[in-house]
Amino acid sequence: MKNNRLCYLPPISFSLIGMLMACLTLIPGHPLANALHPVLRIFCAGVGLLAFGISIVWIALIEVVSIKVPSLKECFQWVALAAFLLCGSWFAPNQFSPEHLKRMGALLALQNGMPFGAEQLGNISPECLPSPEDGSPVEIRFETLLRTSMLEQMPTWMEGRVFKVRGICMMTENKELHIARLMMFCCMADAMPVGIRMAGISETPAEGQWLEVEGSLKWPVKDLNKIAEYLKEDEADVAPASSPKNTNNNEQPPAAVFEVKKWHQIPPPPSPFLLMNNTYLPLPES
Amino acid sequence: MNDFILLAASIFLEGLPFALMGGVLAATVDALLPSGFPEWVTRPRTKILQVGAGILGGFILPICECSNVPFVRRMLAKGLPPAVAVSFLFSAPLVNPVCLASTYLAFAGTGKPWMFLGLRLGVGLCIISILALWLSSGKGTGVFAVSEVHAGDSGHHSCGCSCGCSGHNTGTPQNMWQALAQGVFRWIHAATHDFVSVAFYLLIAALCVAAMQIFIDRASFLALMQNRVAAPVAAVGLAYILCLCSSVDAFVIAAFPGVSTGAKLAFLTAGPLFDFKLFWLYQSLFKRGTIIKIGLAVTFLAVAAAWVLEACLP
Repeated sequence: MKNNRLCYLPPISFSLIGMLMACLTLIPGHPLANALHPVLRIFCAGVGLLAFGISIVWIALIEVVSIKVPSLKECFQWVALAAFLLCGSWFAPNQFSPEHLKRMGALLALQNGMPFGAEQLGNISPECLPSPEDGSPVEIRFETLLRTSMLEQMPTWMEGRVFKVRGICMMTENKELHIARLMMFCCMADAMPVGIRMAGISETPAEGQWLEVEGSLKWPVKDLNKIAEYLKEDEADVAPASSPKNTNNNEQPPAAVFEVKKWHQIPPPPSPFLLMNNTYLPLPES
Repeated sequence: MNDFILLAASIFLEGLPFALMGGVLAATVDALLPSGFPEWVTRPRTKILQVGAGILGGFILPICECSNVPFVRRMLAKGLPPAVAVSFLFSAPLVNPVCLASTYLAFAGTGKPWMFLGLRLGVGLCIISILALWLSSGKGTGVFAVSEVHAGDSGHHSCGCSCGCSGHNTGTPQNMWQALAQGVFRWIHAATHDFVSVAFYLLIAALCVAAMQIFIDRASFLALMQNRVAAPVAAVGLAYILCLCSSVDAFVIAAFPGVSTGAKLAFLTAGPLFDFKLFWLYQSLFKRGTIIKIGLAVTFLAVAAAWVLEACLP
């Protein structure tokens, strides 16, 4: 049986798509590999290999089975898919430009930290960190710092230590500087900025730039009058504002501020994203 | 421009494996199930029971929004009644266990995750039931873009795709190998045909969403969300623009400060049912007019539910 040459177009495009899916997600440093959550990456690579396998069988079968010529529309769709994936993998930059990061700064709404996981950070033993007398800054995971900033007061392991953390300089609507990262849930399209407010910076770093800052978290001194007001409201209200994250209450919980001692600009790291994870230990970032 | 490429490529790459898995799964189910299967599914005669069956299917099958479009396409071709198909299509992203678990986790910090989970499920299922009953009522095939909905032929190959496979008209195959080859080819063709038509819309969707993420100023939505009355509308609008997966959107909205419960709920129920990505994906399934109607209906119902909730809750 002799088939039209055009019959080979869909399976060849398909094999290209499968190959690209597998390669892009398996190459460690590729921008598009960084743009997906690791679990999704493995899934994508597996499906890509499956697609490649199917396409091989498909090409082999064209020799055996007689096939009608695919419609022009179908051919166009196949080629468009393969071409887009090829272009995307070739031209995709490693991360967002500072302009886009500036745009995202407006969405710095998640500043009150990760949705869960702060509680465990309160009772880490201080011994797992270098001694505070040393004086040199301890490198800390960004998400650890973020979660800790949601606690009611300073945990014991933080006392007397200076911490070093890396992040993007972002500004909110009301011109407050934050040290922020993009937290990725699934792929980078849903990456959301999360950050901690910075205090004590004399000269303003450029917005959208990567910084390494040294300093420590400072909790606001609790205003006794305000607490008394809270309590009164509690008694009067039907729904007491007992939980610090009560969302019907527009009052923000008193989150900690990062008091900066030193900062300098750094080049962006290979993967700019913060993954949604459950690591609670204040280990340095690798 | 670089941001645009990165966004579009990553959205596309994210959805691609799911679209392919949907196609492969659908083709496998199509090939393995006996042709009597649709009659077995249609056993629940009343519309309400059919909707229930669809929702149950959405809960059991590990499928969410990118992969259920090719799956439902194939199932419609197989003769699944529209009420089941539509309710499955809409409920799969909302009621699948991953989505339920992430909703619970995301709202664990607020102290009342069960309330959010229950409300999301309850309001979502109400909207889905209304949509499914409405779309399957009376006018029959008028809403679907796939022509083979009521293809009554009981033949094993009813894909109606003006397809390239010659499996049904070459007469008897010469030998066993020939038959096997044709069977395998039919499977591949079914899987890849669904995949390519959905993935092409996914490509358009990725381009659109990337452009929107760059050009639309999201800060204005946040400002609107502080207003109690406008908040649900703004939340639904934000859900349509962000086009988040249903399994992660709860994390995003849970941490927004100062957003009312009603608005959060509107975001959570409208997002999985309709957004600008799904607008394109649905093109391979529904007629364009129907999709716009679905979008308007989802918006209206979600916002109305949010307002009612705001009025009832203290």
